[in-house]
Amino acid sequence: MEQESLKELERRCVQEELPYCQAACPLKVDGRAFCGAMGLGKFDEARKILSRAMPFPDLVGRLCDAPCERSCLRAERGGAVTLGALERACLDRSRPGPPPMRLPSRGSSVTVLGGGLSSLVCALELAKKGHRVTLWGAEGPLGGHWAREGALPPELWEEAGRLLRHLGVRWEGERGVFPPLPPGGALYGGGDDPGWRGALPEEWDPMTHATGTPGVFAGGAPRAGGPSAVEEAADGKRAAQSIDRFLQGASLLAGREKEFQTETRLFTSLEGVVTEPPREDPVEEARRCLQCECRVCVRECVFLASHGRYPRVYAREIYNNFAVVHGCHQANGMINSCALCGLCETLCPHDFSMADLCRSAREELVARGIMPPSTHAFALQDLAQAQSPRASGFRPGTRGTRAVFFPGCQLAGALPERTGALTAFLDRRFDGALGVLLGCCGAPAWWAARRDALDPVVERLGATLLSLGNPPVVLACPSCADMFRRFLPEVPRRSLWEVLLEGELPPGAPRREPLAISDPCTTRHDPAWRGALRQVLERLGQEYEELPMGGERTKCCGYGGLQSQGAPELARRGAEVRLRESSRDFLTYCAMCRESLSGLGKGVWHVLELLFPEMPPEPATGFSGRQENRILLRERLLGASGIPRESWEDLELGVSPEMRRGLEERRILDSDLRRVLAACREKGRGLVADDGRALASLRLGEVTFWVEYRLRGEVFEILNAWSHRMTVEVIP
Amino acid sequence: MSEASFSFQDEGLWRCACGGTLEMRRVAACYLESRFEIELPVCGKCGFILVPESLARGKMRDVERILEDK
Repeated sequence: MEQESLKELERRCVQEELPYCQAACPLKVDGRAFCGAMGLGKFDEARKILSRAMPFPDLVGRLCDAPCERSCLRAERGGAVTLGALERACLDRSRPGPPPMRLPSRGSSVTVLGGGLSSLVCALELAKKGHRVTLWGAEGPLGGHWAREGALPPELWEEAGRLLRHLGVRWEGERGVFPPLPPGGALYGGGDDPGWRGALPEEWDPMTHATGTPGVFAGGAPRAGGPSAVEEAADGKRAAQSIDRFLQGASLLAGREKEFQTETRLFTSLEGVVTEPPREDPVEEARRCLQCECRVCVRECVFLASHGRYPRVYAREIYNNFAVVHGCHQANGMINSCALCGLCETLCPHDFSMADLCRSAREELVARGIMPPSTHAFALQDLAQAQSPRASGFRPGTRGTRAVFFPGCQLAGALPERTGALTAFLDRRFDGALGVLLGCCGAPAWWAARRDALDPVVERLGATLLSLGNPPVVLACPSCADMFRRFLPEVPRRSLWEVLLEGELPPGAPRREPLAISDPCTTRHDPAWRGALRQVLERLGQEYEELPMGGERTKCCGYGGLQSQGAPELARRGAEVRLRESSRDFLTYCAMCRESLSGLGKGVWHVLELLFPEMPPEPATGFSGRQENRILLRERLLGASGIPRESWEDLELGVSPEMRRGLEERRILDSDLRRVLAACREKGRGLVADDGRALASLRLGEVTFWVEYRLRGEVFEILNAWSHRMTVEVIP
Repeated sequence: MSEASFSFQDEGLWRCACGGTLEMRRVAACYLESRFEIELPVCGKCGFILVPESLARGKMRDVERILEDK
């Protein structure tokens, strides 16, 4: 990843943008953190948060006209949080902190004119920075027009004066008598002291407060809407910052965007926020604060939530992952845990796509040769099996090939009986002019970013279809459709559901109870698929319910992006969260959704089970079962492949349901078990125990398998199995 | 990798199909250009090495993952 693209990505994620109240505050007080502390009754902590951005909190906080309230998002749900009142409540209930520290003397002199609020703040900020500050023409009570109006007890202004003296500020001069500009120094004139009004420059830069005369700064002018203490304080604070920069010869503007911004790019969803009117009690009132943040994606994604932060941070972590020379690539796990489902991009107000980020990071891992070898090995082997001559192939229609049915390898593996029946149904629909193509579309290779595995799949598909003149392909699996769209755009695509709607549906039988539709994540950008499927259900008479996260906001079952390989526990948790979206049984139209969501305590149906109900049930079967089913279906639809069976294939296994779950979790296939057992029987190698148990082992490719079993007649009863990738050899 | 953290209490039940007995021997475990020396039960006659489940799914898998992320 280039630094430029990182910057662009980071900019899209607005989680770190200022909350609305802070952006609106001229002093940039963090109202969100302030309310957080107030909501916990931590008044001293809240005062600290206030003091961080607000000079003289006991003056400014008490006079503050709270422009933040006009930007508060809570306004739309019961009324803005009364932040101004909360400031006062905080100041009344908390102890002032220690006086601010003065930095070592910088040797520059600044003269600050007037005793108004902006001048006091300017003097304070410059004194803290170590400048020699003279308060000029501020004799008598401090506080400018506020003091005249008696807005605060005079002691508070006197306390402010004591603090300035404590920081070394000296009093000189008379009101209205203009001082000389200190040599090598600067001057600030505060128009909020009525004694100075009219004697000061009338024009200045609204951001930096610089006037036309170098070294002379001004602010504190009366506002159109009436005086504003927080604006006057901000004038003094910004001018002090500019003067400090001026005295150092630095740019007055560079890097001060956040100080001047009044708008924020933050996005906060009000979905599910209940209306609550303002409360008297300050703690309760502070709890009405929405603690504005974005996290729209994180809230809905188990993967994004599992890493504890948000995409902006993740992008940086992934970028840094590629800067590691020695040491651990700590973001590998993250990169390979994303389901690549694209929900984040749909939810994000600025279209941040973790899917694109993680998939391209996978490409980079592969290109640099640092992709963890075990992560996707199993899925790629599964792809290879689906592409093998025993499980794949093409059969033209008996009366030509007007269209080609491509059921996809997972549907063929998961529901072979229904796939067979559907093929026969479509054969009739196309009047014998339907070709049948079995095999994989290459999706696992795309998700694993393995172009070397993807290219041959796509080339073979493309060549087969081209040789037929690129007839329309009828697709039953939305992941296949996504792959055809990406890599074979020249091939006309039709969804099975659209094709079914063109004539009579198979007789079918709806379930009596309404079912919750779980749209596969690869239909997110394909409303036509989703719509056609719903029409099929309506014609069938199947009642259904939409999930809260359905349609283009649908969620992945955990198989997408090979999440179940890179982060199996996360995939399972995601499936469990998904199933909690409805109390009803689920209905889906992706074979892998049905497989992934099954076995978690809820009925999960594939639409084909409703359309072809009279056949034996085909419950979720797992990797081994799907691989065997692909071979059987290939034989049934396309005829035998002509490749002789290997002797090990006929070994009979005894696998209990519990052992089956374990084998699936450990990604150990029946074909692995049979190979290990056959090889050990042939060579007489392995271990035995007195109770009749035996232990066999064999290295197959990059993995060593161990199988513990007991032979009962001709059946190998499987007792345990495990594997490792390390090799072992005796040291002589 | 220290071998002190795993035990083979069940492994004493096994004997080799060749008729030999298992004895603890120094074994080199290798993965992705890294090599570790550990002690494992090995058949004294044919050299068959037992990698117990507890090791394969425990420490050995942890080390494999660390090496894969290097």
